[in-house]
Amino acid sequence: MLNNLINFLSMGGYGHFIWGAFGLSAIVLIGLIIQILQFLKSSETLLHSIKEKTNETET
Amino acid sequence: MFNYFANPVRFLRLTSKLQPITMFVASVTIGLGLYYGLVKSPPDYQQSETVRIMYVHVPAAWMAMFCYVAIACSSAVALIWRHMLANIIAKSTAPIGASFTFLALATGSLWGKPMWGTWWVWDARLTSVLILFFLYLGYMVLYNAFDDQSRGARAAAILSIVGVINVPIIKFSVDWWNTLHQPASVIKMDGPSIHPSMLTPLILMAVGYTALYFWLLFVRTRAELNANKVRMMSIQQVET
Amino acid sequence: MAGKSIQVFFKLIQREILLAIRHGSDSCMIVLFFVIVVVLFPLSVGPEPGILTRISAGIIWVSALLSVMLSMDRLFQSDYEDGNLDLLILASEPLELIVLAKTVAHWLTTGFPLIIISPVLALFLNMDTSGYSTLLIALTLGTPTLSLVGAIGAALILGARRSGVLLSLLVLPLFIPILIFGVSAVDASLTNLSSKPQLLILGGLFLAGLVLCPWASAAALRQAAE
Repeated sequence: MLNNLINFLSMGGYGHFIWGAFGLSAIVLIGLIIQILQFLKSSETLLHSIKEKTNETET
Repeated sequence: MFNYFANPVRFLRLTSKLQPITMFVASVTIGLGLYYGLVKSPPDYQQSETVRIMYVHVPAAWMAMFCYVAIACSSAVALIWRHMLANIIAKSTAPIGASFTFLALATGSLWGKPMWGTWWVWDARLTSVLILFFLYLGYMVLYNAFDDQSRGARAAAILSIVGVINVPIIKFSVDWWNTLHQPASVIKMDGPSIHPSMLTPLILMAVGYTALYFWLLFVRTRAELNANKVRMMSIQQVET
Repeated sequence: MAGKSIQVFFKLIQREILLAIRHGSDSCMIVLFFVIVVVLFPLSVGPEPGILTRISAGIIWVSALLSVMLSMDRLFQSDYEDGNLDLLILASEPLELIVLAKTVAHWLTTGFPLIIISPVLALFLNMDTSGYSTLLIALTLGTPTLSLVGAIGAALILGARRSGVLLSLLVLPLFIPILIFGVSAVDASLTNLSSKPQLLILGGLFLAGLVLCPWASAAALRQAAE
């Protein structure tokens, strides 16, 4: 069982390169997703606050 | 059709439906692609296990080119029909495409080390993809280099159309020059020359990356439209 | 109509060259910059003739590239600042032709002097004599393309913040193909191979640039003046 896992992780001796490539892809893409979702969130809160402000000044 | 969806409200209504679909497709196909790519598919008889890097390298490279063409096309639409939305789509695509280009270069480098014995060679394919990366960076810098947003959008649009000449060079560089980089094996006139057991994870990952791109594009476009609205409203507030 | 356009074309080139001669210093400075950059290389990589001979073509091409790029940002800047650009856009002659005239004048005042001085620098760098003629032909075919491509960048950055650095970021990646074929043409003739394919590609790039670049630069100028 454990041997199987170690075998799988070592990838025939090329584990560094393969897991490096997959890991790097994961880091970059997840980072991109987080950055874009945060941008959406901040833009929405900004829009809300400014809308409230304009409503206050109108009433 | 352009004119129909050029209306931001209509576009947002459409994307609010597409957003969960693309997210779902992206997570399922990437999940399956990882399983098939890392576990189910056999090692290559020539490249042994390292062939698995292909499943993140090739889709990233495809998306790098796809995103650039998307920028150039929507830039052309923006210049001809003056749709604000087309500019925003182009602007939102740029960082996503730049990320894919970076990944294509980095994973290619990680693949090259065990295969060619070096991290980097100055062959035509690698150099032209590096130029593509610089074009993405130049596009993003130029877009933000002006005090007037619309000036930046138009200048960057023209740059992206000029740079589109690089895309066929990337595509055909492996056929035109004798290089270390292997030629295309999936998209060919006489069908793919790649074994089905490897084609499955590759196609899954490619579909997953494409869906991921569209999902991120929709989210980012929504955020950019919000930011635009904020800008306009704050200008109005100052005026009143 | 066509005859008149051509007359205007040559008039414009004449005007630009006259302006460059009156100001004088600009062209001289570019050539001086070119020489100084080339001189930096032997000082940095060491003066062994073997190494210098090997990389001489690359040094000259990179220096020429940087010099052309450095001279580029002034191409439309003064016209943009003093409002002359609006007049040129409103002129009855197509803007593409005007842009081409300005680019030709730019090449005559910067690219051409670089070509003339380059054999002297090749001598400094111990280049083999068999490479001289190819170097001259390659530079003659390549530097006009640099000016043509650079004109697009010069038009795009009008009115931008930090325009000088921005220009290099936009234009240098597009210069890379010209650099690659320019250097490999000289290298081929230095190793007694035919440099014809590279020179043909350089010629093809020049012709493609001649047709496409003024059109793109004109589009960029129009949007800058809006």
